[in-house]
Amino acid sequence: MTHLARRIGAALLLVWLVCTLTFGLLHLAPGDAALLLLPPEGDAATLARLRASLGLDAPVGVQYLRWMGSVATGDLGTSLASGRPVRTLLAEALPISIGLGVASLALTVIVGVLVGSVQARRAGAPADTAITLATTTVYAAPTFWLALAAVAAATSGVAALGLPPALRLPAFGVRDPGVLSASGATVDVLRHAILPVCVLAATGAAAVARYARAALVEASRADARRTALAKGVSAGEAWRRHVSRLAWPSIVTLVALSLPGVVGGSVFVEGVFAWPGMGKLLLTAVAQRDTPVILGATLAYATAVIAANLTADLVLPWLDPRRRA
Amino acid sequence: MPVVPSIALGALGVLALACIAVPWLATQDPVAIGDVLARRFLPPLARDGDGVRHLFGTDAFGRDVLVRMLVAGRLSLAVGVAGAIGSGALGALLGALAGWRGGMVDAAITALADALLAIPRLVLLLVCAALWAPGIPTLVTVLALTGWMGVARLVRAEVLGLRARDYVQAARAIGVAEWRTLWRHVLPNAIAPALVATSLGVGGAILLESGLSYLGLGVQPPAPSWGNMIAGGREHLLVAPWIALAPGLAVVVTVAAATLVGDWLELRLAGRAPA
Repeated sequence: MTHLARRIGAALLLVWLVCTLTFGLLHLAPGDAALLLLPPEGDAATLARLRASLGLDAPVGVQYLRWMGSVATGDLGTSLASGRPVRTLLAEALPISIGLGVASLALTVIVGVLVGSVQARRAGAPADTAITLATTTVYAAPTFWLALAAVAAATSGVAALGLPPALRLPAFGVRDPGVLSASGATVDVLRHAILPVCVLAATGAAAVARYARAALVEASRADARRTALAKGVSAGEAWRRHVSRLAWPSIVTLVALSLPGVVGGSVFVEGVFAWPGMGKLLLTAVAQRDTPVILGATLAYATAVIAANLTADLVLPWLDPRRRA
Repeated sequence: MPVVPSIALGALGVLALACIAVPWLATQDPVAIGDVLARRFLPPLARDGDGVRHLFGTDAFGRDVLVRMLVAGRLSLAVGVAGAIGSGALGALLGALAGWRGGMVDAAITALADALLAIPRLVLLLVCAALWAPGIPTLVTVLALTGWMGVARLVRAEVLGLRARDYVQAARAIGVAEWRTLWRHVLPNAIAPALVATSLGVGGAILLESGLSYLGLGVQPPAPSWGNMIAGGREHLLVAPWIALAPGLAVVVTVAAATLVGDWLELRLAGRAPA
């Protein structure tokens, strides 16, 4: 119980640190929001009035305390570009990104661990080397480039090869405004999701397969397996009960650590496939230098990463008896 | 040296040499625009009106894609390597400082690293690249400032372990200056994991550079980089897919080769399986 409380306290402290850090980063940058909002014909007096109305005339310390106060109460300010509350913008974008993230993360872990364990069972064999080359190649491909390739393949590629039009997957957006029935809409969203989820899962699974292979190979060299084999346990049984159980905790840790990479990939995937999620929101905000939205999106991403690490920490004792207090 | 890493190292060497040598070998200008209508969108292997063969085709302005790809490689490779070395050096410095000094210094550096690690690196890069004027110096600085945490953790752990060793205690006891003890006796023994992490970081830095340039926040056109070449090919994806294909393949080959070499180094130097 005290362990749980201490972990949650540390996570909250980390969220506060991230808030402070992003605030500092935005204030180190040259220029401010008032300069961006200033109309071309504006003079010094207009600029001063704008600064005062945005609270930018206060000392940095005061601005920081004000901002931390409003973040603590859940108020993230309003977007400079659209004038809408950042909280509303995030609330609209979040479900789309969570859907994309959860679906591709599930696929990432299943495919990645499966490929990694197939490799680890044959460590050193030609098949293992071939799969390592394949996963390294996918891992090395920029996500946005893979996404563009998927778009080209699913549109003109399918047409050029004369494949049935059912395979022509929609490459942009989340839904087709022409589809009106409820069941049709579900199928439509799912069809729109195939390409983004697969592209994101492919890069993620390549990374997880590399981790899983390494963790399993290390676990297979442990004494536990040799002892099991010596006392007459079959090879498959030894693998299931002694090797994979030993490797699971490190795989869970590494999957949690790879989450920031999945988030980075999702920013590009949402950009290419025009999904109005958090990544697209952040990209637009960056292009417009819309600081409140940038701050809000950064905080949301960091909170997700911290929450995932906390979950991994809390799951580990359950997977690994040695970590139980 | 086993087969796969040697092929990877060879591929890296050939690509780097081609990138370095391209200004003296190329007959085509990578940036200047000539007779656009006669030369644009030539498919790979096609000859233009002057009888010049374009191995990887030409882009929307009739420029040779292969020459542009190799010239872009000069920038992309330089930024990737500089970014990785910058973050490795910064990480080794801060990690050694944290492990050696301990106390408040250690707590501050560890907290900063934890907070930076909690923000996905791409998000951090986007924020930084958007706030400062885009360009190559910004790019390298930002890559270094957002990539040092992993190396710092490794070096800190090593230095913590070495600080208690007898020979380090002996050096302190006979009055060797503190910075000299750290430089001569501790760092050389703590640096192997940092070197491995830095070499594995080259691939990541090249990928991130291509991503930022793709978004228009990195290397600015007309100077070609792999990322902004892919961005330029995006508009002509269905008419002339080779414009985006060639620079993308260059990134894949470079990053895959750098990763395979890094894996091998990790196996050799750190004595453990790649992760």
